[in-house]
Amino acid sequence: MLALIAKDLLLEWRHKEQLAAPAVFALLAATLFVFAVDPTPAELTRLGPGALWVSFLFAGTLGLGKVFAPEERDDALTALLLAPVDRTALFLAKAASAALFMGFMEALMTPVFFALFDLPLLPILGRFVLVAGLATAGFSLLGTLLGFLTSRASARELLLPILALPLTLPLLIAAAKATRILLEGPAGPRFADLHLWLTLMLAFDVVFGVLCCWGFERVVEE
Amino acid sequence: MIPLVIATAAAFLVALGAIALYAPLEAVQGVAQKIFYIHVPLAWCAFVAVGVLLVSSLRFLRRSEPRHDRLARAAAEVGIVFATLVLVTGSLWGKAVWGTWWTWDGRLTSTLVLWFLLAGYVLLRSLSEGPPARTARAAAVLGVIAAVDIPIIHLSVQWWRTLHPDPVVLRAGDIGGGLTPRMLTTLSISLAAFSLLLVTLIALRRRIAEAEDEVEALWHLPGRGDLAA
Repeated sequence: MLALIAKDLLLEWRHKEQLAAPAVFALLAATLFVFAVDPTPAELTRLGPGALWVSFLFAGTLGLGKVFAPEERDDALTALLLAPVDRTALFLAKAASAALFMGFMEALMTPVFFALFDLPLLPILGRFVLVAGLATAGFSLLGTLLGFLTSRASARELLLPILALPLTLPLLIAAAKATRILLEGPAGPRFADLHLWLTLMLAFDVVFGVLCCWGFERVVEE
Repeated sequence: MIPLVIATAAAFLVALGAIALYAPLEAVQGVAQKIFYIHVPLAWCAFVAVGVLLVSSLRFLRRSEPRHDRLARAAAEVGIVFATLVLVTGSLWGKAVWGTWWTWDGRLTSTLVLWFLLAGYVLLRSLSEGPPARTARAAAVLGVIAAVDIPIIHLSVQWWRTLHPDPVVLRAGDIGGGLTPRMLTTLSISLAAFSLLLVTLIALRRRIAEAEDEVEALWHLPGRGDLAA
């Protein structure tokens, strides 16, 4: 399984510009948001978390399409499936690579976003990483499965976000709410709700982690 | 099939008659309240369609029998029609009673997301180009995942609203509470008529799916490949 992740990471490293493209896209989306809304600095605390997570998820769907793309050429997926690898391990390796790509993009862009929105990142960094980790894990699990389900569809670049974004709506809501609660600080009116949103994301990750492994096995058996 | 269609048509005549003539005029909302007798059964049918989608997808994944796949396909397509009508009738009623076409209330928003999920399912089926058997399996897995996700989405949307700092100005009032016996009878008749409509539409759609599969099979007969080109 580690070998599979390493293979994907190596491929990605050889095409570094593919890694940069989603990050640039996320930055662009956030910039457009500021131009369109023209928020005051106070409004940015309220609107910033939403803009950040919408940009991350949109950029994330761009990365997801590529998870199975290298296996399409020369039908490498069949070879992978024939290899003595557990299907669940194969799926989890793919999801882990997807999560790492997305996490890399987030690690790159989060400081930029917080600087652009003039929000304090350092005081909340530890908990923000937890929020981002939970959201990215769930999004990558579902997104990897959906990327596989849509791999034979025409217009799949369009179909993947249409499927992935509504299905992961609970993650978007929870991540944006949790980020905003963190920004408002322990004195904020909703601080007690933080654990609720974290629990929701954790439950989402567990439920869809199991369900996606199950689903992947059902689709690959042919 | 024809008796089913006739029964549905007859049930609708009775239901429309009951809604127009038998159901009393609600004191506050007036005639607009009568949309309720159409809106609620539509919502009920949309959720039943999702239930059918879930069960037949699971059955298809276990047995791989094409008839379960056709039922899932039919339920999803009919479900999206009902979900669309739920949103439209809800909007009309909202405009008349609340004074607004739309409010980002938990129930409305979940219904909208349900619509997106069904639309995604139908799009996946229609855009997939691989072998039909693989498309069917992919769609069945999506059907199960979407159906499991719906309660989670509903919960998160509910929390999203209720935990929102801004007060909810407009709430979907507790309309089910104060129903008079006549209203309840009308609702039951309408519910029966719409349920019959759901069954009829799914049955018709399933028959079309059978024909589609037959055509598909003929298309792939040996020696017919040149026709496809």
